[in-house]
Amino acid sequence: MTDDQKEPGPFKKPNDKLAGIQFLPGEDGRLRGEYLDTFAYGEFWHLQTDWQDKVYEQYLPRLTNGEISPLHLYMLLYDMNDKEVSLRTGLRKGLIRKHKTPGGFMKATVRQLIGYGNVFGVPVAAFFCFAHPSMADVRLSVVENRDGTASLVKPGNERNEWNFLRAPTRRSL
Amino acid sequence: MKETNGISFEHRLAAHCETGTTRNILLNHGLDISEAMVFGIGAGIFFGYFHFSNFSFPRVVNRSRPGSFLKCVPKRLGVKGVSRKYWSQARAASELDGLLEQGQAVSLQVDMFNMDYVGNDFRIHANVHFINAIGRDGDTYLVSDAYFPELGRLSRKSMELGRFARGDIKPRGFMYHPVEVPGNPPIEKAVLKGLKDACFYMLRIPVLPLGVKGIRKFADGIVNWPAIAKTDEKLARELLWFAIVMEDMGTGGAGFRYMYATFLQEASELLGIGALLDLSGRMRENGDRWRDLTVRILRMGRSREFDRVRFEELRALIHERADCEEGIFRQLSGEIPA
Repeated sequence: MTDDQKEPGPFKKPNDKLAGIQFLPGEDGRLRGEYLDTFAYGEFWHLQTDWQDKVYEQYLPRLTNGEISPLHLYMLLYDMNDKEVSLRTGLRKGLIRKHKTPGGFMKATVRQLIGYGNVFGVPVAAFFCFAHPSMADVRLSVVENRDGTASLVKPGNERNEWNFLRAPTRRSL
Repeated sequence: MKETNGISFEHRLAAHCETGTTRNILLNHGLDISEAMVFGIGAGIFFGYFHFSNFSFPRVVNRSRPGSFLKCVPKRLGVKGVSRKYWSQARAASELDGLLEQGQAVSLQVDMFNMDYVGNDFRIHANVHFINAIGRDGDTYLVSDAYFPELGRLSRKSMELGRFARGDIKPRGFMYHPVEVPGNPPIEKAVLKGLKDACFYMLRIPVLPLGVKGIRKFADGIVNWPAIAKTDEKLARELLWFAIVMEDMGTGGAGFRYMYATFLQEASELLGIGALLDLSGRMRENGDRWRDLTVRILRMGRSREFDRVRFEELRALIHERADCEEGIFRQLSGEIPA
């Protein structure tokens, strides 16, 4: 056994309530299942979370500048490509590419947004509220512009902090 | 033994979800066999290296097709059971509810991401997770997940999302439940069939480079990982992910090699073939070398030392594993009585 491997021992709680069982030889030389700490899982998730934080900080300004859509940001955070999202939602890849642009995202239906929410494990509202890294606990909201496009605003810019997304209708256009 | 809505179910932990689920459902129908035995009878040992456009990075698979244990192990043991897939979510839910009301525990295939009782760190999209549904309380299902020491609770919505998740190897509401378990199951015959199938999967699968050929493909493929990953950060995460796939994701250690060694040990005692015990020792040693390799990869990921020389060294080590496994399975193939 190398230093990186954990010695078999009593059951620990390495990850919430998850049990890691490995087959190891006992004192009599017979192989049997033993509880072990997980091997690299904690480290992986630590790295993953760090990486997600970096992606978030890097791409949030692009979201607020109207260069990418919330869907694109989530896809970057979860490291998923168009084909993976298409397989998981049942939507065409072309439609997903369209929804990755801010203008295209505004045209997504609620059903499609629910599909995206199920893939990323978030409610639809999460696509429209983003905490700014420099402003802890402050929400950004999406507002609909007069030309039907969307933009994100920080509280203070608008009288009402709570803005709701409304898909552009023929009348609003 | 836990009493849940009239269903008494003995919940036991396991190294792997599907073998654990199969073992638990058979155990609760009076057939007590070990998890390693389920793995061996189902010929679970395998290796595949896939680089498809569906994945953002090449993936390593070290077990047979998901669902195969629940389908073939009970069959080989002479257990009569019902397995179903559905197009209609409503029908799948009503049939599950009906069986639970009758006091019948049911094995299900789900997406792990939707399991409410799983901690945030473990919430990943994997359509190949298996659980036993053992009771229902209104809109909450009580489930036995072999990875967790306690029984889990699952809302109706999460159950539906999990059972009908889209993507690769979609569950389509897959469920299985035994109907009739024989008093004297033909375990010896099932073990022999499992051994034969394992040799076929590892040595003789035609066309696709799978089994031992898959290990060689992985050896040649890993050299290209820096180019595929593009950034050091992504490569570090993928190397760590490989370590998880080999050690942490319910493999029982060394990508199921230790579990298979345990099976060979049990099979040797059951069939009275001494050579299987020697092969078990060789497989355990092979598992140790796989683990050394994983530790090496883990260290590379930690230190971010991504020289081409290091990847060439890995390539040579993985080829060694392929040669070793080829030797083991060729010998195993010769030892199995016709």
